[in-house]
Amino acid sequence: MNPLLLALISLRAAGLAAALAGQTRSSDALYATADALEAGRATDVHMAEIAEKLKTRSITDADWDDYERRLAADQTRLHGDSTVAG
Amino acid sequence: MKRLKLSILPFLLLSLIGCAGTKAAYQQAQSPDEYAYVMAEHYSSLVRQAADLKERPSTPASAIAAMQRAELAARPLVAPLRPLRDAYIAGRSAQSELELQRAIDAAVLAIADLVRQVQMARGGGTSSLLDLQIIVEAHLIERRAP
Repeated sequence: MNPLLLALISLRAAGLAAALAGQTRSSDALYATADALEAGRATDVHMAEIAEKLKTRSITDADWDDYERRLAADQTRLHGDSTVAG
Repeated sequence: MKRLKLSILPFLLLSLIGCAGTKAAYQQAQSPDEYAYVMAEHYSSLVRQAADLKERPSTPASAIAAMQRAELAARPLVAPLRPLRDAYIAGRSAQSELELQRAIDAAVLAIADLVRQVQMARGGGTSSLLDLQIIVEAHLIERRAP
């Protein structure tokens, strides 16, 4: 198993155990750490896919179209509809 | 002692995440148009992280506001990458390459600031420096390329 996935599962299991033991602050810290790890992992996985794409083929207009569509959706989520035009 | 261990844990783990995929992407870019694409995708993935963090109840309002400000500051600097890439691909002129390179130069620091704000919202410190180092090093490598 991927060591990072194992770390995520372990952290969340420890967080659950701490919560069940009434150690709320410890539980929150463990869950927050797992969330932070997961967020960083998502970016690195995405960038690894970009690296693989560059290894195997040229970047096309369709790749840029896809990027712009994803970006617009996430900008809307980050700011709300009011700040993202188009 | 237990409290000390818990406070150190996030930083130790975050420093172990590594940024192999991000580094590999920047290293794979062989031309200004590919470099612009990698930067744009890195920016996009950071915006996604910021949006995900915003939706978590545990993220402080101040951290959300800082990420929003950093994203708004980076946006006008990242937006020209595609049209300038299109112009470069269409003409492959020295002028279009220079303009694309200038846009990349302008976007680097703004993206690095977004990296910092997202990392702070995540509660990490060490890996933000690593991300920043990757961007700057990759940028310098790209500029040295013939």
